Amino acid sequence: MTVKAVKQDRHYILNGKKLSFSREHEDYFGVVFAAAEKGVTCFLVDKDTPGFSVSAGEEAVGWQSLLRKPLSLFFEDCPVPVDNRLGEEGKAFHLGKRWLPQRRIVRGARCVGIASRLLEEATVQAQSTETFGRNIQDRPGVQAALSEIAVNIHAARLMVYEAAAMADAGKSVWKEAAMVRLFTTRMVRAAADHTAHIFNGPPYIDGLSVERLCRHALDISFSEIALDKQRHIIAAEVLKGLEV
Amino acid sequence: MDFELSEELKMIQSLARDFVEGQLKPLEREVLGRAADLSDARAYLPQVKEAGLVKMVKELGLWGVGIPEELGGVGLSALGICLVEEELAKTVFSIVPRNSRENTFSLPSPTRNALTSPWWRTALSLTLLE
Repeated sequence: MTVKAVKQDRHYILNGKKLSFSREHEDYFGVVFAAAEKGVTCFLVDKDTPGFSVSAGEEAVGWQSLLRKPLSLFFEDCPVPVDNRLGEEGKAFHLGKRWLPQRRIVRGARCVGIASRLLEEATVQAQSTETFGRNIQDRPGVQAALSEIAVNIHAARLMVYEAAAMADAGKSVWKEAAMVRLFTTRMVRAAADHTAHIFNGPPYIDGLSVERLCRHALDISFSEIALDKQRHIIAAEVLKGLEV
Repeated sequence: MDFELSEELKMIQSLARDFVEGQLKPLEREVLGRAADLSDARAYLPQVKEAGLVKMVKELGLWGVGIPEELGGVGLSALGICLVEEELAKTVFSIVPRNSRENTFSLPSPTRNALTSPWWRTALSLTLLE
């Protein structure tokens, strides 16, 4: 954490540099984590704050802004009003504790959705493709792939719904969310892999929905927190005596 | 152990499912085909069509499902959000409620190297403000 925040009267003065900024558009503000006296603190920094500048990488608007671009953010004696502090000083990471696990479960739901569509596409492909005078849907390899995807979708969906229902019941879903995220991510990537094999190449052809879906499958495993961190959360619970 | 969804949740699920099946999936071929043809590989939905879809999403009550009602969202439960997101993930389009007036229905950058670009729907920072 190289960005420092020093409190002066009714402002925090931010200094330092950050890389990457997601989803900027005309009226953006940044959610900035900076090191203050009491620890890492979260700030809302308006685009027009003096001393705040963005360079290296274009400012994109519209759908392009959904891409994380390698932007450099500079803070030079940038005054941020105390009112723009999100949460308490030094407690930036406490903010996420409540909503992060839930977001992970929602990501799991997306994985289930992508995989269901992949299965749909793979099924149509299997039913409509013939090789060596035989429909490929009759081939054991293809059937194995289809059944594998179907079973995994079912298992993943049950995990997602159960974890979401737990969250709604006000229970802690810290480890459940980690399990959902780990399992569903691997599930959707395997589904994309199987589908790609059933298609035998066409997922790489631009203009096909399945090509996009395969990308989504890959993409979703890289956003948010690393899978190793999910494993770490689960392992820590196991080592503490978790019975599954 | 009850695995049955409540009537309300089933209704939300089928709203989202019908919208994706009826409105978004039929657009995929056209928009993706156009993206593949363009040299800069960008794809846009015609503005008029997009505005119509946004209006429809709002009317259906699928706009900002995870955002609390006080802040202008639908304020669905976690399970409700999951059901909606699962359906929405079945199309290549994404729905992004945001303060920008344009390109709400969007496609990720189709640049060849963008395979790993995290473009996914925004987990709105509004959730942070709880």
